[in-house]
Amino acid sequence: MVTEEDKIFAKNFKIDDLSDVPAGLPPHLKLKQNRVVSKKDASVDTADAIYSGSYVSSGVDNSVKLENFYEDFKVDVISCTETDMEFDMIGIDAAFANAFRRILIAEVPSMAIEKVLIAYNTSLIVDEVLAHRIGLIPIAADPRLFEYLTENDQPNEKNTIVFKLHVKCPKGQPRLQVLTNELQWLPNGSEFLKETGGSTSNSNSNSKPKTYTSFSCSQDSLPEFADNPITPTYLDILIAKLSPGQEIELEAHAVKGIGKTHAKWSPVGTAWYRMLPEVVLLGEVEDEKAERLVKVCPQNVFDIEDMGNGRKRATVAQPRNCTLCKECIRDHDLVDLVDLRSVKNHFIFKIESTGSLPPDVIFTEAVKILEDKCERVIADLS
Amino acid sequence: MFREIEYGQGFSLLLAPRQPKQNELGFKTQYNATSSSKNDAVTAKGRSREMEHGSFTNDKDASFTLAEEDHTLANAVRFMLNQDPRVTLAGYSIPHPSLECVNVRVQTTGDPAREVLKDACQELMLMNRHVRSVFDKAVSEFKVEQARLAAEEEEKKKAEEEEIKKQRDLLASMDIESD
Repeated sequence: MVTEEDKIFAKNFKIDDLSDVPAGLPPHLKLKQNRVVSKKDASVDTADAIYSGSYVSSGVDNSVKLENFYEDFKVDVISCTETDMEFDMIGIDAAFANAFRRILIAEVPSMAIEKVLIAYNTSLIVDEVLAHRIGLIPIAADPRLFEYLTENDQPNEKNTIVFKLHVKCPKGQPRLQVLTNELQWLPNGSEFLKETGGSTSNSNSNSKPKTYTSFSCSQDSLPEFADNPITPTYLDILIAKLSPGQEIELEAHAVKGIGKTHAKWSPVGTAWYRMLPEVVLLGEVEDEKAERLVKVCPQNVFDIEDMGNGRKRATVAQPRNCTLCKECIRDHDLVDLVDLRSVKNHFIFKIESTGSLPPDVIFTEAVKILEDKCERVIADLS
Repeated sequence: MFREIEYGQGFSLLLAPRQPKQNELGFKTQYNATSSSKNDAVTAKGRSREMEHGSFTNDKDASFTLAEEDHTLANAVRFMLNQDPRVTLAGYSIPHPSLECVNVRVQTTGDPAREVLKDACQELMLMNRHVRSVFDKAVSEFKVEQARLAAEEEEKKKAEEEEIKKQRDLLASMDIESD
């Protein structure tokens, strides 16, 4: 006879509720899936190909569904200043972390000097070396306010920034250092005149003479630049040194570009990530061994804990500082007691910006660029 | 409409947009990438932006050539493809580092490979949007917290300065009295 209670029990019964039915992967396989273990000679379990059917025989679904991603993904900002940023991304795969890193370095656009028009250079620095150095100077201008300058375009106020450098070391003075604070912004465009060969009578002799850029309005009038002129990010970078009597007169035109074309357009000094280190003591590390362990770690990961009776024990105090230098597992008696692991889906990102954009904006732009790539592929496939 | 375009080491291919070409073994090579407003069907160097190499009869296994792409997008797409339960094989390769193109191989359990690839890219886009929103929220919360801590520090400093001033005034008044 089947009672009502039995029916309700049968309806609500889930096999996972039974205490001895394993849910998910056994713990040793979970470790293999989630952690990279750094052994004495090499790292183990670094393979990341998370194929959805990997554990089909165990009955475990390995796919990272979008809903789970929405729940699990977290960002923790550790520090964020105008130039540097450190934050944690949890719940994401290495493929994405690397994609973001690659885009941060090579595909987020910024402004850098591309054309240098040299009128006069009697310094010791050769023209092309001087132009190369000027190209590498970081410029504090938001690239989102500018457009790309293609081959068919004229340089105008929407795609070019013009700087002037005119320094002369007077005779009788000591040697002069030319720093980036000598680069003056010209909001009205180029001042060097283009030579027109043989002006005819119906040419515009009473209109403005042609220069190397065609600015239709002054960049000063734009609200973003009205009160803060465009300057290089750092005003104390040494460009050249001049002896008495030497002079440099040049004009530098900055355009928008990406780091893939030339590293001067990279908006970050550098950007890198590491996985969160996890240091686990596999057994009790006591007394003399504990002292040795604490002393040997250069990053102060371990700490001594008193257990009473004058006995000491080592604990893991700051695992995040660990650089996986493996000093702690060099000794033969400590090698079985310490396990150095990295968490595969927890990334500590550091972004150092050169000043054109604050680092959090650079990261947002990088994610937008990856979205645009996906959109392009989808559009091409449809 | 046919266009003759130089491809790689001096080969020239007749491109018929959206008309698949059949080779000797009966496999098809279909050049896609209609010119939408965002991107041209053809890259700057004249190569078609996307090609599908597959079979006429069986469209569940195919290789896709994506031009002007590298590990950045390909590894992320490969990850998303692996997550899809319909996929039996997903991988990418870069034929030569000087040529900017990626070959993505997709084999499925029955669905057309192109649809599966499109779905993977779509999910990738959604994941990116989510990453962006979570990141923006975390940064703004952090900045608010920083501002709050800075304000607290300011108040503490002010309180300390006032204390010091008060003590100084007290001492000064005591000195006057003793004089």
